Amino acid sequence: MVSPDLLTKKAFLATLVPLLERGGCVGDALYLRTEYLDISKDDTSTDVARQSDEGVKLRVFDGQRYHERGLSGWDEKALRKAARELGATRKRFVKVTLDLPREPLDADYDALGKKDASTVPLKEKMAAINGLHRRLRSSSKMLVNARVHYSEMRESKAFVTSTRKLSQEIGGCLFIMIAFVKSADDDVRYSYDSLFGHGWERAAIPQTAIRKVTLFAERIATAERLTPGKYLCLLTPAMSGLLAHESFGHGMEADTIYKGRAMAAQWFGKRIAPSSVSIADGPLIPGSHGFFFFDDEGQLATKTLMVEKGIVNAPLTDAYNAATLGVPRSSNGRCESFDHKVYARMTNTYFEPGTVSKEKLLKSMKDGLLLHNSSGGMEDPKAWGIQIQGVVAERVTDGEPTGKLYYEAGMTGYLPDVLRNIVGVSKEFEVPGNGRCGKGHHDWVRVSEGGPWLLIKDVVLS
Amino acid sequence: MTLHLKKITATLKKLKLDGWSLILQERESVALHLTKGQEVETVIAAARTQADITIYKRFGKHARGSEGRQERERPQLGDARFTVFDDDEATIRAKAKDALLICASAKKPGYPLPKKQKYTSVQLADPAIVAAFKGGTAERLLLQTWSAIAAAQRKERGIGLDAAELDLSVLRLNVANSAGLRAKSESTALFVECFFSVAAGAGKARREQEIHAAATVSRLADLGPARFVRENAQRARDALAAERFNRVQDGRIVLSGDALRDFWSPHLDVSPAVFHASAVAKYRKLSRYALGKRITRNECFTLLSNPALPFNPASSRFDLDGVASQAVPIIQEGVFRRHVASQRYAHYLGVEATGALGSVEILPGAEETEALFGDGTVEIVAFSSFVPNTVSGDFSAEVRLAYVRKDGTKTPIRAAMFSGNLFKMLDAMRLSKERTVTERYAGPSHIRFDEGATLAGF
Repeated sequence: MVSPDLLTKKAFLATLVPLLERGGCVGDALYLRTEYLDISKDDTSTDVARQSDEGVKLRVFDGQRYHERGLSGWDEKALRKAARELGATRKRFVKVTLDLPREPLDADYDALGKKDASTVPLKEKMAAINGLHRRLRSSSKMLVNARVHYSEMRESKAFVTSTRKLSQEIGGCLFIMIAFVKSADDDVRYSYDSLFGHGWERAAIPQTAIRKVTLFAERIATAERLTPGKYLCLLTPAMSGLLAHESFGHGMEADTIYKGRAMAAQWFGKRIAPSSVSIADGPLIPGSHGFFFFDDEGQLATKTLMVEKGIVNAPLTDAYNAATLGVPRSSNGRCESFDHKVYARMTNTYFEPGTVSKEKLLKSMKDGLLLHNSSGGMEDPKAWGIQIQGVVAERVTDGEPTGKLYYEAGMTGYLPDVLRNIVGVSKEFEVPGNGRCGKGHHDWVRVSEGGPWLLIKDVVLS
Repeated sequence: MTLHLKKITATLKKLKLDGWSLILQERESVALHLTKGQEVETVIAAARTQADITIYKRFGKHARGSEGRQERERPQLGDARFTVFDDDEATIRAKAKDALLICASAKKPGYPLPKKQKYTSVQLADPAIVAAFKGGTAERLLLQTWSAIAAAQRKERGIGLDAAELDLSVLRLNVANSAGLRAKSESTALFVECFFSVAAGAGKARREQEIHAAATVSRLADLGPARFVRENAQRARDALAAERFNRVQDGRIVLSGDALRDFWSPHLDVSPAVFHASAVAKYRKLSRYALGKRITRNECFTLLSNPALPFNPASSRFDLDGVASQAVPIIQEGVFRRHVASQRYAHYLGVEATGALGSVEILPGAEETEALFGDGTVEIVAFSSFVPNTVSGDFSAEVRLAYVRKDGTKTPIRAAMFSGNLFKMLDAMRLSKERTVTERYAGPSHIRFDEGATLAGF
């Protein structure tokens, strides 16, 4: 249930809208508060911190551009003053007509899990983190250190316009496990995994998930560098998600397309992949890191099929760029905080599942690589180049993973080539990503990515 | 909203805590976002004022640990941090009460809070930017800066500007603690990000190339709009003309420009060379360095953290504990000499706290720049993104723009992946005599690597 305090704040914001719109502009107000509890434990110490971010974004749109004020905290007098000042802005232009929802909607949403983490005593959380650290540490004798990081989030937002009065509270419990090992030549290397859920029930972490991290760390200790070349690769959901997000998704953000910065503009309605391939983005996957009910411009959450059966279909939009491109709004208008701009941003980005089992895809590989995970990637919307680094790959021979790992490989190539080379899409599907995405190197928002297992030929790795 | 340092400290003193520290941050900013046709899409004026407060609680010699077992017989300290956006006494009291509970769960070996100390007078703020915020003309100043960039771009034949973002800010920091420390600083920053484009051919043969150009400066005068545009316009033209790199090459690789800066001072984290020097990495048994140990056979390699370069965005007067920032010779002539350490981890290791990290500074070598080049040498000037594995030193990064030297000519190349391990590259590293200073990096303008790194075309 949404807290009474948030509802009070929503009601106050609604009183600002007439002030914002008195010059004939379109106005909106967004309140954001995020509270974090971070607990870190490794072999040497335990650290606990509470942090929070709170503020209000006020906007008016004059027919061509947004004028915005961002104010930290919650100060009603200061907010009224800022709203009056912004409201003096006259509607001067008719260049861009925003497609804003006209039907009135007053709604409140929450996703706090089965057990709201804020109701769990700190002692219980500390016991769980200490226990998880102990289990991680004891699951391998090769570790030189083991770290558990728990990040609890409670995100509260209220958004109002002349027609919309919305609020949402979203909880998040993120558990990160990192296992450090020494390689044969005395370098320190590590393996990690993360698990996310909206509520404290996520704290029940099975032993198999813990052992997976340490087993990987043990193998990474002896991993070698890969010989650069083209390989037949089976991508795990984590890797297929990264391909969907970094390599494709950024190029489908409407602002990038409108500015002429994305090659995607030339591909709408054209085939880019086999018909077995569809790529989507949408916040409404329960329990996912990119989950929300409405975006930072009050657009209710929807799924967007960016590629439908191999054909490039629809971009991800914010209000301004949906209007400039003349395409429907999607729920992708997002900002890092009250003092940052709202851009078209991804949420949960993934390939849709196929019909073949992942075992069948694996068995079809005579010689190739299983790409497990990577440390991240970078977008290149103009050239649609793939830039994924820190890839951990495992040799597959005669349909069997051999346990032989390669460390810190880089994945490159031209995205349409890679999508065209997809030869298998598994029916197994998950969205395991728990990261943050930047617009370039700034403006971070929480996202997730995933999908099925993808079999791709001629993947360029170095 | 205004937060008063005196009011917050008075409240904290009333609480009779074992210790406290606070960081009061006031940031004012104006941002300009330009879209297609160089139209202004958004203008944002924002003010952020917040205080991050840490409280400390001492625990006795035989206090029970968080897991119920007897801890070692030495004083322990619990700490907990929280944020406030107003200085209301009741709010601070309530949050401090909660924080005291957290302290009992976050016990660690005790360490003293830093005491009152002297700070360098490194210049961090541009008076013109400070005056603009005080006088309410920051938006106008930002628009003038944009006009200068746009004018320079119009002079560059065939160069488009697809989008731009500019952010002008002033940041005032106050740090105080219960040990009597008081530190304050004022810094300014201008962030400029432009996407320049160039095209050639027509119809199906049309090719386009975009270059992402970004700069952060503390002082307006250091941007140099004409130079910023000219250099990036040339990079865009070269990138368009670049040929594919169709081979694998070990060594004979020179880094310069943005690539060299990002190699030693990556965007998202510290360099592996610096990470292993940190006291926290040592304490957590993750460091490969030991004091006095040779890191490389290369006796020409000296690396410092330098937070005292004037008007450099990486410079500072103190860290967030209020410890004075100082230049730290980390590696001298190939030997690890000194940790970079926060107050807490300095105490644990018995070394001096060094304040905030600064720019990575490398002492120049003795070679003329041209002596680093020969036939087949590849000079990398920009990566798409350089994100090394901080712990292992391994990396793989896509090359955005590079040049191959052959028969005295420079040919731009693309489609190559630069990979290797930083620590394995140091032995056969050659440093130019010529020096450059950019944001986050000061040192040789060109560095050549002949071992431990590979460039592979695709």
